[in-house]
Amino acid sequence: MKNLLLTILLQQIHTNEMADAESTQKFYVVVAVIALLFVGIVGYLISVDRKIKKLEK
Amino acid sequence: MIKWWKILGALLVLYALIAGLLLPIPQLAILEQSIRNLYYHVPMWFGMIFLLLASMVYSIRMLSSGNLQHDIKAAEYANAAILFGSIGIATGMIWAKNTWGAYWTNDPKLNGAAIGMLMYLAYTVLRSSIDDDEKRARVSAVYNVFCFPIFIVLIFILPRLTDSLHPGNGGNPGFNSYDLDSRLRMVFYPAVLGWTLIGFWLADLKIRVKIVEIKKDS
Repeated sequence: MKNLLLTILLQQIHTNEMADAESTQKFYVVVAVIALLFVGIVGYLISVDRKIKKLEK
Repeated sequence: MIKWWKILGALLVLYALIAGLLLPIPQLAILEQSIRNLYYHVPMWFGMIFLLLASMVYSIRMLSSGNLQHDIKAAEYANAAILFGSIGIATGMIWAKNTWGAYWTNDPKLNGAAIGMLMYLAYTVLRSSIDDDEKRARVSAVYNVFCFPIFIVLIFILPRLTDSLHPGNGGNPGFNSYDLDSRLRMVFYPAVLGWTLIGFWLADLKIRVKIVEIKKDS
């Protein structure tokens, strides 16, 4: 039983490592998403800023 | 159209977000990859301090000139600072849980920051409790001018006099002594400047809305 659990655990760790190795390249995708998210928020800030400028006139 | 420093702030933060995730970091025990939080958590506090400094400066200017627009600026810079401080505390708790083992420790810097936040929350309560514009401006300006030096003592001076888990406090060497190598600096300084500018931008939007509102009323 103990051996079985250990085998499963080791297999789990092994597959996780495999997944890690495979997904390292796609880490850039997350970076791109975070960057785009921030660009979107800044775009919103700019539009609010312009609207206030109109109100000031 | 948009002021140059706002665009600069946005570009610096964008750079810090990307470079902070991708650039190599020094090998540090316990911290490991979480040292990258230096680029995200710490700039919140630096941004907060610069905003509070601006808030105090406008409180002094309000007291010497009696200009109510300076009062609006002081209040809104403080509000933006409170936002940054709240995010700073929340992000710090996540970092603390995973490196120090608890969301909150009796670290003097944490307690000092918490007291400082309460002082500035009291500032907003004080403001909302006075109806007369002139009186509110004057009373809250005096309170604000006293708050800033106490805040600096609480988060920079007292933690250095005792033991603290934070780097650079107590007997604990700071990032500056040897940990903050050039790789960290390359992202950390732009991140601090960028987030500070974003904080001023957020405050600026609310200040201008308030001024437009007042002009509309009169």
